[in-house]
Amino acid sequence: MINVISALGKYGIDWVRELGSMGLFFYNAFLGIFKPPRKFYSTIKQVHFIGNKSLAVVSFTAAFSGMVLGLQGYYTLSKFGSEGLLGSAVALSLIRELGPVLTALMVTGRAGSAICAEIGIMRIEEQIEALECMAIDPYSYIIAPKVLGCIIAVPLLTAIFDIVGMIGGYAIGVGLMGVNPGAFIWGMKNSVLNQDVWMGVVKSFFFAILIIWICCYKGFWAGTRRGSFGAEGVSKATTEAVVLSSVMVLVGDYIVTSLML
Amino acid sequence: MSNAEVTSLIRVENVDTHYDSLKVLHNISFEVQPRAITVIMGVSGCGKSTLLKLLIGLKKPTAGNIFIDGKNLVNMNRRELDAFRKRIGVLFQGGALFNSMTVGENIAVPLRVHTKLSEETIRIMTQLKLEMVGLAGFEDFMPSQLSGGMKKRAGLARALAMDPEILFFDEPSSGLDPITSAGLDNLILKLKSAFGMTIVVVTHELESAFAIADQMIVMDKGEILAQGTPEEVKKSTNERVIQFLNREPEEKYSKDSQFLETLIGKI
Repeated sequence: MINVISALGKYGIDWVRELGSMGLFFYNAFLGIFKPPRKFYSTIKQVHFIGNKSLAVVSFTAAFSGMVLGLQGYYTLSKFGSEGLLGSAVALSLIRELGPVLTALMVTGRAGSAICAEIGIMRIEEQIEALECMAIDPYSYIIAPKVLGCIIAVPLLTAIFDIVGMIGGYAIGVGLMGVNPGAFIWGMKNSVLNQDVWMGVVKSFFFAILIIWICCYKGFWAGTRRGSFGAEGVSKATTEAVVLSSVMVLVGDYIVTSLML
Repeated sequence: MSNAEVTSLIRVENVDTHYDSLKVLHNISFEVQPRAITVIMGVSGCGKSTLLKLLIGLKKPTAGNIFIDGKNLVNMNRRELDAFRKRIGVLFQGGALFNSMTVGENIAVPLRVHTKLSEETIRIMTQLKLEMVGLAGFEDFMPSQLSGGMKKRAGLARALAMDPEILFFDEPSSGLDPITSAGLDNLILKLKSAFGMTIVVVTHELESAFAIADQMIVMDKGEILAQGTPEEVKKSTNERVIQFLNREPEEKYSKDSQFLETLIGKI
């Protein structure tokens, strides 16, 4: 019994310590944004890495998500004889929910994991210590450009996701299922309000911060925790980063939705 | 102020370090003289790498003080620590080059961050540093294209970028062939004689240590067993020092049968 209680206590202490450590990391990364050196080019590089290089996979996912929405939406709406509302159903689902969430999940899988592994390798090869020994703040030099890059790239990718998704929905709804194109476009124009777009934008910023925070944090301390050293530590950190980011995106989605409704 | 405080550049006083409940360093005291090569030696796991981390401010000791030019490293704030780190260069075991940059860009990192030099000047300085370590013409190579010894030289060129007063080396000859290793030893000696640098080397390679050391510290199980000039260390009567210097293995089992017993039980 005492063993169970002590194990629970240890788990609790570890959990609180991890949360505190994540909080400190966030604070240092945020301060790092305002510290020298200048980050213009390094941020552009990260926008290219996170944004441009994720473009293909995000567009591909968006097209098929929109197409499935077109199919499923048509099937459901046709039961009520409301096929004309397909445009608004597709647009609202994409802008309010699927766009930000799926973009965040794709960025986590493609860029988040790579960023975590890159920082993790820097840690185990003593590159982060080397930076500190050169009197260069690693938060400012490595982490801050990635944070800025992600905050810029993810909302832009989300916007692209929404548009490509709507084109996919239109292609299936109008092209395959024979919905009236005027009704489709009119439905979209009429039902999407500023607050819907605003919700999508807020979510994409929120998810961008969440993903980059978790992925950078896990990479930064990769291989330094008890029981996970060296390359094994990096692989463990990368897995943890992707799983935790994905779960937190879905949890965060619920929280933001409930706060903004 | 004692005489030692005036002449020594680094003074370590009664340093203790723990990792949780594990004691890694116990009552370590020594001094590093300016413009000399101090070699810290010992078997793997003796605490010498931890000691190096303390000296470069990457870790704080549990107890004790480390004075750099009379200033206590243990109590330094971020700004003082950064000022100290601009005076030092560190060569890590694997070179610790940034993989995503070319060798030249690696060396330019501290120059770009800490100085307002023009790109042209930085390029010339980079070439100079590479020439110093015998890697002229390699500035456009990626670290992955270099051999182990070349990576260490490139790492050394980066450590030299800001013209440091004190250079720290973590296992400079580990993983290198004897010829490359001897070349690196020569380079360390040249840096001392030509630029008057203070050099601290952590190593377990005996040959390399005796080739370069002005002062030696032999460690075991977190304690200093012997220190002094190489001749003084050679004359040490401490059993562990003699065992280390004579490269004698741990005599856990005096007979083969004893060793077998540990594997398969009583025979």
